[in-house]
Amino acid sequence: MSGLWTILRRELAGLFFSPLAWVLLFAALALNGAMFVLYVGLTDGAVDDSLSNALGTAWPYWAMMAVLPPLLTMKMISEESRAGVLEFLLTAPVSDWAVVAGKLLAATTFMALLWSSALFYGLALAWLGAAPDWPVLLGSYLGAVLVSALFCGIGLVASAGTGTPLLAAFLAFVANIVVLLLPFLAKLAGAAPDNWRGAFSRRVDVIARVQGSFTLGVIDSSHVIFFVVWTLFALFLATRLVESRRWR
Amino acid sequence: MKRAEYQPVSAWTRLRIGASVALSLVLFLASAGLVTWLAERPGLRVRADLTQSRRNTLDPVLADIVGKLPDQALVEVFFKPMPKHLAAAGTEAQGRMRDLLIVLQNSAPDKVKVVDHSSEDVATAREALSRLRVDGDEFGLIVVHRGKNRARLALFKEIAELDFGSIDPNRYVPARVAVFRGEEALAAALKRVSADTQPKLYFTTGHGERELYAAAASGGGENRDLGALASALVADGFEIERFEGQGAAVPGDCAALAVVDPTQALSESELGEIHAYVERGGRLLITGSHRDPDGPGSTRELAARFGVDIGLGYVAEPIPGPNGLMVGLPACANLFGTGPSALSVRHPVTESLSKFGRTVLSQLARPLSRKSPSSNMVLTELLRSSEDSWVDLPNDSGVHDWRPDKSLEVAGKRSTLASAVQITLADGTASAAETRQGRVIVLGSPEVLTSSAMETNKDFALNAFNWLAAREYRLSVAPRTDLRRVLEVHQGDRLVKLRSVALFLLPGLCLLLGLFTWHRRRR
Repeated sequence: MSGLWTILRRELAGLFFSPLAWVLLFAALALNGAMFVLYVGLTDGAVDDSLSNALGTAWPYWAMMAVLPPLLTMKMISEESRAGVLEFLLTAPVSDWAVVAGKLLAATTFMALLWSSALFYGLALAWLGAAPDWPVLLGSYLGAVLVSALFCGIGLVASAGTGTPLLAAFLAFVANIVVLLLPFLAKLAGAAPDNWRGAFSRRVDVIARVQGSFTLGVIDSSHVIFFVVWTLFALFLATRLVESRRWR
Repeated sequence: MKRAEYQPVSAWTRLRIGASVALSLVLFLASAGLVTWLAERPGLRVRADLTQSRRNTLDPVLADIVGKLPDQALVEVFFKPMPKHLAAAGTEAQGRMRDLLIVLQNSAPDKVKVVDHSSEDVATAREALSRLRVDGDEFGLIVVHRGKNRARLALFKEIAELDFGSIDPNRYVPARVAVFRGEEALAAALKRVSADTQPKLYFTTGHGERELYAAAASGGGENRDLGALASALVADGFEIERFEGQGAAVPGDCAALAVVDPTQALSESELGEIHAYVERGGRLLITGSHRDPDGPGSTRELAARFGVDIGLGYVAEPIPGPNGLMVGLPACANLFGTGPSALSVRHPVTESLSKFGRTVLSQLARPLSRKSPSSNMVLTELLRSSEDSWVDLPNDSGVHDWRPDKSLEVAGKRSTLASAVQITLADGTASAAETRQGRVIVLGSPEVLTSSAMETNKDFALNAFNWLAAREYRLSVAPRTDLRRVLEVHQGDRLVKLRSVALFLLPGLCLLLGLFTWHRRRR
C-alpha cells in the first residue's frame, strides 16, 4: 500500500510540474466555464439543470471525457518505457499492480480536480442567492469521477500496450469513442428492445448510466459497481501488459 | 564462488505464461460481467435518492401498483417536437415525464420496461403505434401495455395541463405547465393494464340494433355502424361480445351491457332481466332511438326504470351562416357540445373533455329529463345543448321543420343530451363494504357512438365505457411540487458575476499556477 502511495505522489508531482497538465486544465476549465454560463442563459437560470449539464447531461462533458484522459495517461507508461524509467520502477520494491494503480489514481485525481470546478460553480450560485441541491451536485460529481476513472483506466491500457505516447493517446481516444458509441453501434447492428443486442446495448450504455442516476441525484449501487468493476478490469489488463515486459 | 548463469526464457515458458495470463484475463472478464449482472438484480440493487424534493422516489401508491404487476409492462413513449409557442411548456412536460419514467424503470426494472421512440424516426414511431392499434396525438403520447391490455396517455391531457398564457404582443405570457399529473396518470395506466382478464362488453343484438362490425357505408354514405367504436374499445383493452337476450340471463363476466338503437321492441322478460342485472350491480348503456316508436319494450321504457325520461322530438340549435344564425335546416340537429357549459366538469366521463375544450357531437338527439329517480339513484347530466336550442317536434305529417315554434315547443332552454345514473345498492346489511353500485348511461342519440362520429366522440365514448366498467381509477397520487431553483439572470449583474467566476476566475487561477510552476522549474 505504501508503494501505491509513493507512486501516486510521484505521478501527481510529475503531472503538476509539467506544463501540459496546466494547459489541459486551463483549456478544460475555460471550456467548461463557457458552457456552464451558456447553460444558465439557455435554461433561464435553472440552477440544477445547468449543473447537471456541466456534469453529465450535455455533449461537451462527454467530449472532454473522451479527449482528456488519453492526453493525461498517454505518457504514463509508454514514455517511461521508452525512456527506460519503467525498468527502474519495476525493479523497485513495489508491485506492478501498485505502479499501475498509482498512475490510475493520479490521473483520476487530476480529472476529479477538473470536475470540482462544478462545485465552485455551485458555491458561486449560492453566493448569488440560488443555492443548488448540494447532495445532487455531489452525486453528479461522484459520477464524473467514476467515469473519469474508467476512461483513465482505458488510457493506461493503451499506454501500456504501445511504446509511443501519441499512438497511445490515439488508441485510447478511439477506445473511448467506441465505449461511448456502443449503444449506437449496437443499434446499427440491429439492437431492439426485445433482443440480446438490445440487452447488451442497455448494459454497456455509459451515458445512460450517468444520466439515469448520478445527474438525477440518485446513487444507484448497480451503476457504481459497473464503473468500479470495469475500471478494475482496465487496471488488471494494464498490469498484465506491464508485467508482460518481463517475459516477452 | 560460482556466478549464476543467465538463462533465456524458452519459447515454451513464454507460451505457458501467455496462456496463463490470457486465461486469467478471460476469468476476470467473466467475473466482471457476472458482478455487473448481479448488481442489477432487483434484490441486490440499492438506490439512494439524494434530492431534497425526493423526486427520484416513487409515490407509495405507484410503487404499490408497480410491485403488484404480475409481469413486465411496457411503456412506449411517442413524444413529438413542440410548436414554437408551446416549446418551453412542452419541453418541461416531456422532460419531467421522461425523468419520472427513468425513476420508474430504475425502481423496478423487472416490472417496467420503457421504450422511448425517437421523434426524428417518424416511420418507426408510426409503425409502433399501428402495431399497438393506438391513434397518435398532436403533442405526443405514452402507451402503457401488458399483453392485450393498453392504456393511452396524451401529453397535454392526462399527463399535464397547460396554461396557454397570452399571445398578445403587448402582454405576452408564454404557455406553461399549470399542473403536472404524470405520476397519477402512470399509476392509473399501470393499474388498468395490470388486470389479467380483459373486461367484456356485451352489445345486445337481435332487435335491429346498430351493427357492431359492419364496415360498409350505409344511409347517405355515412357509417352508422359501431365498427370504429368496437375497434377503439378493443384497442383500449376491452373484449366485445354480442348478447342475444331472448330471456337469457346477462353473462356473469359482463363488465357492461350496451343497448344501442334497437328498432324492435325488447320483450318484457328481456327488460326484466336487464333491470335485474343493473339491480345486481350491473352496468348499462342505453341510447334513445329515432327509428323506433316509443312503445312498450323500447329503450325509453328501459331508461325510465332508472329515472331518465327520453323525451319526444329532437334537440336542435341554430347554425352559423354567412348572415348570422340560421334555422330551418336539418343541420340544426347536429349539436356540438364544447367546454364547461356543455360538458359536466363534475363527472369522470366528461371532466377531462370539459377542461380541455373537447367537443362531443350529437346528431338527432332526443331530450333527456329526470323522471322521479329513486332515492338511491344519483343522476348527473353529462352533456347539454346550448341556451339557443329548442326541442323540435314533428308536425302532423311527421316532418320536422327545424324552426323553433314557441307556442308548441320548448325553446331557449338547455336540454340534456346524455345522463349518467349511479345507483347505490345496499345488501341489506349496513356494512359499507357490502355496498355495490349499478351504473347506467343514457344517450339521447345513438349517433354519438357511430363510426361517422367516432373521430370527434372517441374520447367521450371510451370514457363512458371505462366509467361503466369501473376502470376510471381515480387514484390519489399527490402532484409533485416542482422545486426548481432559479437564478434570476435578468436581475442586476448576477450573470456577469457568474461569468466572472466561471470564465475568468477559475481558468485564470489555473493559468497563474501554471505560470508559477513554469517559473519555478526554470529557476
